[in-house]
Amino acid sequence: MSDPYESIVRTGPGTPMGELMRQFWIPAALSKELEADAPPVRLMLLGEKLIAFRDSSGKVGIMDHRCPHRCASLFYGRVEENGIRCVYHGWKYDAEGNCVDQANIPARQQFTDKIHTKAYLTVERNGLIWVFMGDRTKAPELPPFEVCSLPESKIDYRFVQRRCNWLQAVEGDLDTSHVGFLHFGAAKPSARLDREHQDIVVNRAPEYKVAEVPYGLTYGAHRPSPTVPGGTYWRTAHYLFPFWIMPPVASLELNIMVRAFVPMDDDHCMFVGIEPKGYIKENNQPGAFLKDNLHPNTTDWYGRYRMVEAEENDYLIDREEQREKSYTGIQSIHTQDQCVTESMGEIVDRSFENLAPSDIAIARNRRMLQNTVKAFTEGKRPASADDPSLLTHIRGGYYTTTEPGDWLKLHREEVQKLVKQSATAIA
Amino acid sequence: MSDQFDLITRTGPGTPMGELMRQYWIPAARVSEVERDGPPVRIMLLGEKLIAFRDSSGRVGVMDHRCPHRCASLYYGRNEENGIRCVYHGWKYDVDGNCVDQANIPERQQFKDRVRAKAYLARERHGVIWIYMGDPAKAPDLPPFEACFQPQEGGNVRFVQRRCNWLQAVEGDLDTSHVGLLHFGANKATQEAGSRRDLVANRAPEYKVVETPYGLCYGAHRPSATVPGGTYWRVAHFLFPFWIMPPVASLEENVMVRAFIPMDDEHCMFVGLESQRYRRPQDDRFRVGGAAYRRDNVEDNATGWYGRYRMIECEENDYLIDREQQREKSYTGIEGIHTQDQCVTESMGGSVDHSFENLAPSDIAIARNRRMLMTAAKAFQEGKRPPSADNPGLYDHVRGGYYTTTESGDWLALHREAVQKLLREEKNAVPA
Repeated sequence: MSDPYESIVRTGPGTPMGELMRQFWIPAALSKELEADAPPVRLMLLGEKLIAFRDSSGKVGIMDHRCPHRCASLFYGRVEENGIRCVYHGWKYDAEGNCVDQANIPARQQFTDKIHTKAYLTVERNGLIWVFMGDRTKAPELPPFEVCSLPESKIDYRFVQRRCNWLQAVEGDLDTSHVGFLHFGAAKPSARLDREHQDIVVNRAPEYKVAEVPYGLTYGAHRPSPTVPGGTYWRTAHYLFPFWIMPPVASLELNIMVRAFVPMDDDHCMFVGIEPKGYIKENNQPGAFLKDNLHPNTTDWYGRYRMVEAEENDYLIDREEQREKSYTGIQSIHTQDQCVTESMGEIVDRSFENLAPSDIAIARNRRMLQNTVKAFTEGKRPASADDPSLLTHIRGGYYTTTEPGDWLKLHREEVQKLVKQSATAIA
Repeated sequence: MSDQFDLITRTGPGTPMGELMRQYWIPAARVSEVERDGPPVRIMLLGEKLIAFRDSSGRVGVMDHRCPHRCASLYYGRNEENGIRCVYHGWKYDVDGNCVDQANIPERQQFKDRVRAKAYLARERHGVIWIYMGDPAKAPDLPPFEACFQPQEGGNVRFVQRRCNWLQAVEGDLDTSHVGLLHFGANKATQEAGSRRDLVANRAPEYKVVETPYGLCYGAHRPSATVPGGTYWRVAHFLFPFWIMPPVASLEENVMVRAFIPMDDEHCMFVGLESQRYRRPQDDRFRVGGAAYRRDNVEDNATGWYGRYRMIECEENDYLIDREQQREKSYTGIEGIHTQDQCVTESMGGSVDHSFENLAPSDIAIARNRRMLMTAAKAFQEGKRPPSADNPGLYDHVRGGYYTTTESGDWLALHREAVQKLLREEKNAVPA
């Protein structure tokens, strides 16, 4: 599908958006997926087929799956004695990609020092493995998201594969008005939801403010609060370069989370949620529960974190429940999102769309990405690629205020106040 | 497989043959598949993913499955209160595709009058939902096939999915000489009587072919083994753009028409419209060895894009071939005429590589039909519409079938006179 968004949806090697993403650290896998000296794990990232393994001393290596000798896949290799050995001719590589043995060549003819696998920088932090697929001399610090400073025991990592283009998935989180339909459409205004959800279902048609910011884009959806006299109910979200989002899943106070849709290839992405344990509570709305229903991982390129609910089984839709109790008849918020986003086709044909005022953040985000990618091809790097500190103290979430004034300023003041409070609480 | 015949085998949006087909009404589903306020049904047609639903007042809507807002599939939608509502943001469409609600947008910002689902015209007749995927202003009348006007009690509508290109499937019905082999190859002339004896006593007929205003007509002829001095004719029609009337029964009884409707370029849907007259006498008479007519053996419909009317016998199970039966009793060891056709046609590949073929004199109708379609597709690209697109009356009183005659003269004139005579008799037989 060739369209004006080609330059921002494609992320394979050499594509403009793909190269831009390679300037950032990428959450690739859970630490627990890799055991020392265990078989390698296949990872598909930005259209590249990679393997990840943990060597005998615990170091993680992530590299192109092809042995740089004759391109046999190292997936079938032997992870042993601090390296991975190709089973074809016995060449061996350490976690940094250095060739440490060429077992099929007489010692005097070996040239191990001239051979490197295409290995990427990796870092482990708090149970998550990060990879940097760009020029290793330019690797910045890991992004300082608020949630990442929590101890591992207080973090929920969620990996869920989605079978569509990464941008299409991201756009679902730049579109808060769907929450009142897709997730809570069957809730009557009189339903006993918690106060914030009450605000969503009393008025399902908010208006919007959008602003570009140094790290990406912020938007706020606002409507008169039905619960606070004279108040305005705000739902504020951020898109942060290159694939991060902070949608308003919880109140500003609790929404210390970030998520990404990391491209696997142009038709598949991996949802990666980094969330504080228990930051949202189950609610009593049918279908709106929170657990991800996943198949056990397999070793395929697309075998990790697949949802049980998929197009092949119509996401286990229950039409009776759809008629009577829930808007979709589909169980769980994430599955509902997955359903509608995947149903658009792997890469949505955007010429078929009719964007509405409710899609202003999506439209502005596309334009910003197009401009950023164009500038990047002309040599101008996005600010947060070199200065991840721009990501400090950013939070999305919902809140109700009676104060007048600039929406973005109000939002920031509110976040600053909360950040100070939680810093005090931790100290 | 890409070749010179892409021009006529490809039917997706924007392809010449695809656009040509969009000038005609298409039988898309059984009326019973789409229930009032029931879940939408996925329909794949001419490479387009569509949904069909029946609204609260009983009207049928058929439209692109994507919501024109952000393209989420309306398949998951709520069919309620005279329209289908997208579950993503609550936009709602009536059966004509008009946007009747934009629930997530403040009223003063709504623009319903400027949004339309890509909906197609839909009609119901003969137990079938027909849709028209072209410019609604140019939609002709529904085709007046005889089979559509016969008394319906006992009449039959058949849907069977075939996993190959539509033209490849059509060509199986422009090739009558396979009948004496694929279907009746194990039958001995000495044990047969009547037209069956004519069919198997001489399995190598000769052919006449002629282009007609509605398509193509051919007759296969051989000396009759049952009528001294007689000729046994099997006459078939191809009718634009995907209809055929093969000689399955005698000219008197063969009141039927069938189509292979492209789902996409590698799947099509067999749709048979059969009158009571066609159906009933056939069942027993053809029950010979393993090659029996019987009900189509189809799986229960599933909701996927390729989930409707799948045969149980398919490539994955070798069409349940019984090699013992094949040695002893039937030519193929495969049960059911339709299954035998399905087997050989699908076995050619999703879209046959025509360069691998070697056409024979017995394939003259196939070759002529391809040439005619190529010419028609090219002419259509240049703005010339096939006559039947604007004048479906051309289908009136067209019938295929077999018959034996001792009369001499132009074969087509003889065939037409025979049909006219039958029509007069039938008309007189119908009580006023």
